[in-house]
Amino acid sequence: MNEEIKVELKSFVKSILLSYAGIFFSKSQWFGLFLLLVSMIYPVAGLCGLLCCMFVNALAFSLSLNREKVVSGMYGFNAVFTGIALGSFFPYNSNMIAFLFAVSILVLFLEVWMDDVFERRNVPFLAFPFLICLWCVLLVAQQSDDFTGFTGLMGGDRSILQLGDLSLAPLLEDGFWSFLPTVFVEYFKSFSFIFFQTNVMAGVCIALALLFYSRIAFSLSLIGFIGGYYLYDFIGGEIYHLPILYFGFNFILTSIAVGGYFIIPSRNSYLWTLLLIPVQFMVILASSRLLSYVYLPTFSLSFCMVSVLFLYLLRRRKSFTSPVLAYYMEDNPEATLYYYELNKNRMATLNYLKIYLPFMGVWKVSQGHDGQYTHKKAWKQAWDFVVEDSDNRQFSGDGTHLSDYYCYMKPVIAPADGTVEAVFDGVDDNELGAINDKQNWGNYVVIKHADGVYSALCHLQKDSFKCRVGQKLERGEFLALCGNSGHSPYPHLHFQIQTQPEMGTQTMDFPIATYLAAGEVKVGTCPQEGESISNVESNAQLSSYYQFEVGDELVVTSEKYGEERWTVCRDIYNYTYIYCANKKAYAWFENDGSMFYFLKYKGTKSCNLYHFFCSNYKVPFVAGVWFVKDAFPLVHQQNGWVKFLQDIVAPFFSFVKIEYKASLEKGELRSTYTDKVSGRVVENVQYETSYSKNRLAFVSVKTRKQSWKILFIK
Amino acid sequence: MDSSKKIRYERPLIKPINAMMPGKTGKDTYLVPVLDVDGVPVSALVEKYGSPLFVFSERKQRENIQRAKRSFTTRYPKVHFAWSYKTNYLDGICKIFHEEGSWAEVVSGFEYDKAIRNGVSGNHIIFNGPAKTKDDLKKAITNGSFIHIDNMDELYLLSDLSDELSIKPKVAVRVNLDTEINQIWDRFGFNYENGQAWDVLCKIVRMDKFELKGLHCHIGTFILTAHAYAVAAEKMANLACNVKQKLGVNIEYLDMGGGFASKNTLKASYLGGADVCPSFDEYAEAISTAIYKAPFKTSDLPVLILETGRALIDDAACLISTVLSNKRSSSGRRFTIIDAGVNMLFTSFWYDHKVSPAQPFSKYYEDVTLYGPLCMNIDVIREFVSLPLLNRGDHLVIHNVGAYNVSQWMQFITLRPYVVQVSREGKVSVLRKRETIETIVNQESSTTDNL
Repeated sequence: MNEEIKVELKSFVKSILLSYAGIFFSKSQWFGLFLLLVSMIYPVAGLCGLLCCMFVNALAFSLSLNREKVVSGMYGFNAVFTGIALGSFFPYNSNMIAFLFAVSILVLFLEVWMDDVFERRNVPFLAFPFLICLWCVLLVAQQSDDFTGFTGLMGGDRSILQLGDLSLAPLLEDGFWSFLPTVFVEYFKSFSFIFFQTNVMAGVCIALALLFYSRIAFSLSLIGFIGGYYLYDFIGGEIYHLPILYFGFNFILTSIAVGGYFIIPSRNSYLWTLLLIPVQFMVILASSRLLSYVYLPTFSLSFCMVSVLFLYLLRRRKSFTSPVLAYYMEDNPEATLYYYELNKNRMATLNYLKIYLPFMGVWKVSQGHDGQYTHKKAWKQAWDFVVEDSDNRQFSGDGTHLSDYYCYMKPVIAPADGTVEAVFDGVDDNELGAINDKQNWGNYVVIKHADGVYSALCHLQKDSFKCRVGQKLERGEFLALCGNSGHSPYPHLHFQIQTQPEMGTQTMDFPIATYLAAGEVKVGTCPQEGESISNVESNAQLSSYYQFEVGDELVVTSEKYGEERWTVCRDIYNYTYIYCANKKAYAWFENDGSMFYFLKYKGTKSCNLYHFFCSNYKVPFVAGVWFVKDAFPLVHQQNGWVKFLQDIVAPFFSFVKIEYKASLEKGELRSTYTDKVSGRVVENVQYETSYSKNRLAFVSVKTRKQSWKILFIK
Repeated sequence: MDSSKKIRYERPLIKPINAMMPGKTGKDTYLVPVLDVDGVPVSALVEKYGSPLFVFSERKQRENIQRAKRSFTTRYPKVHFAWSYKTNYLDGICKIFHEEGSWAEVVSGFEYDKAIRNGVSGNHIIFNGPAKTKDDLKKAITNGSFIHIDNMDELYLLSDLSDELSIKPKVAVRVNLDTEINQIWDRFGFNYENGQAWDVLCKIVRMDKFELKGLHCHIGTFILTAHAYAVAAEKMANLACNVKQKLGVNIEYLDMGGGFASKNTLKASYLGGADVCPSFDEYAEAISTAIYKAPFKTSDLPVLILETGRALIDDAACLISTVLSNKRSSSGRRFTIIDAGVNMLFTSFWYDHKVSPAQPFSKYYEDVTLYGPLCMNIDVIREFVSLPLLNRGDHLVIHNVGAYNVSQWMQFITLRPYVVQVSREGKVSVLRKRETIETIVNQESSTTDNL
């Protein structure tokens, strides 16, 4: 029972902290705590914010709303704004506290409703609930003349702003900061204004915390604000008439949201950040004019409107070109970017059916996609394969007979499971050098693998077919022999993935699931012209070492990090991970039957699990001698300064590479972790994973300075 | 003419002119002088290493194994080659094949140790043969090698060792079968047709002391018809399917052994070896087609292992030899005695090795008998061969000697010569040094043991 309360309490505290962190789209509890402390510079306002946030989250919990959402701070951050606003504008008294609770409930109502409405359109509701609530509150307060009960709400001397009267000169009391250019003073103040303060010091603190949390978010906030400031200057804005302080934070928040959080940071996202500044200005000027009739401020309306509209537009696109929307947000924008850049190649294969090579043994791609001979236009995504010897000859002897060609009459097999859709037989093989233009494809077979995914194999030998239309095929089943029929001057196999069952329809850029090219295991890539490639042979032995089932417990020890207990778990998204209870570290992994690979690591690097993650980052279950290459996400950069610089320039280019290479030699997995800065190796760790009967035995780690062993005791 | 250069002496020759139609084997003996081995002049090799001299070609070995692999792997999805140590166990040779991905196939404790020494990991060694000692087997079990059981006594010994070591040995059963050819090698393994093989498989499964991994056969040697392999493969595949269906054990590999013919000409053969021996493609086609006939699921096809040795190495080596003397027999036949005999060219007992002169010659040929240097009547290299008119000191190149000679040779009457290898870059390396008297006497001893 006690334990349960503790867990509940922990979740509650987390929900509060994340509500604060959520203001800047962060998931860091520390950042949230820091913002909470900064909000307390005006304790009354800060306390009101906290109170409102606590009340809303407690209510959300007790009403059994989606727990994940509540804990993530999704319902809390509007409450924080609302609470602080109330605390800032109104005197602190019992009426106000009662009012605060009433407003809190309204905030939650609006949030839940908007969450649903906006979620259907796949856009965030941002600070809309806060805006509506605050306008409600202000409209109520305007009636304090009619309702005596509300009189206490108005006219407090703590009020730092007279609402609706935007002509008030800003309070430039911070003489200490006068050494800074005005634009920066305004920038910092805009930060503090997010908490309804005008304190430069608070702004500096928030800005620094933001920089600590994310270099990209910081640079975006700077670019957005400076852009807005100078545009304001350019159109001749009167700082005493409409102070930039009242709306500057819109630029900051929109820049972070659009430039880096909801969109993968990139050159284009930065460009859009700039393009949206004049749009925001229009919204700000128009709305403040309109709202001034009802004595209401525009606040964050432009941030909410412009961001949501822009994201909505992006979601309505027919193809997902740059800027790319972020579907999964990591801890901060740079992490999102690093994982996106890595996974768009690494996980590309998950988007496709697994299609393998349609032959046995090593064949060479004599013409690849966009080939110079015949792979053009609608049929450009095709491959031609031949067999060559080590002297790069395609035939033995003098090559004057078809049968001299190594590939001639070699079996052609089904590249994946499917159904035979079409078989065309009866075309004779051409003489060497001759082409049959009348029956371009020669003898061919088309196999249906899924709706819209058909593979076609052409130039086959007459009367060699062992399959018939409608037959169900298993991957690797014999289809026919390689021949020289159709548009084929010399024996070769033509292979393409097309969209329709008719031979010769539009081809598709489709990767090959796994294949070997010069000893390298390639996963989900497209074979290139000139590559000698073969299917991989599966390695059941190697696979047996990596059968981690949910609930498995592993005991691991090393001299360096001591004994650790690992548990294999599964999260609500159905991802499996290894959890190290001792160090509170997580390593998400995947085992698709043909390969074991890690997706992500979270936790301290001083942990055996971290080294297991690095050493076994990708292990294809392939027999024979091979190597495989991969890259680690740049979040693993060890050197703080290098990481800082890399983060800043990350949307534009990267000068850091963390490479993984593994090879299987004599039943041992040798892998390396190489950190390269501008091509220079700064860190190199070598791992050797050894196996004993049916399980992992140990991983030996060798860094530049020391080496140690991680033992799997079980 | 350059007066300073001595004109080569050629002995007089009287030959009746037979104006007749060309025979079945052609009209004339057509020889080309072989002046170099992969670009290294024969004269330079002899000068450096003496005569006789075995010269191996790395290029040819790699070409052969790559061709064999190409033939099989383009027809069958899972193929492994295992280098047959008994064919040639020189480290330098084995390493080339291991580099090309071959495992090791050994038939004695000595060969087993050699394979381990060459860096082959235990689970890539196939241990065949009828004479494995207890210690050999222990080693093989602990290293996780594949042990191919030859007889029941071996099975019981393995069973005891399995208990003793508490390890389940990885085993396969050597099967002998009728492949519709003359040879039936029923002295190795268990017979297929009379049910011995099935009995022993049942026994192995029921004993539950082994990991039954595969089936092995080796239908004979220098098999000149690929069809025999088709018959063998079909029987083996059906046996594997039966084991799976009736005994519930998945046979992971079929080892079709070796026996592929090389390009040599057998003594009884009417046509030249190069013309009659099946190519790797023919063997591969026969074996793969036969396995596909069996009711395996495509994803469950067993691994195909091949232990061919001779066909991979025979034409990758030649023996350079020197003419010692010419003489004439009582019947008037020309005898030529060279310095390489059956002591180092064991295979001349069953092949008519192709012999080429290693220097230019005129258009005149004489039929000769080539004798080796031994003081034994059996020392004949070629009983009947047409050669140009050779003088003492001239060199001959004997082709296709890579298989078995360097492992089956003997130290008899004289010592064994250098074995060298020409690398792909044309560099010469010594694979085995010439024996000296110390090689022999160091093994001799005069101590007395009290037993």
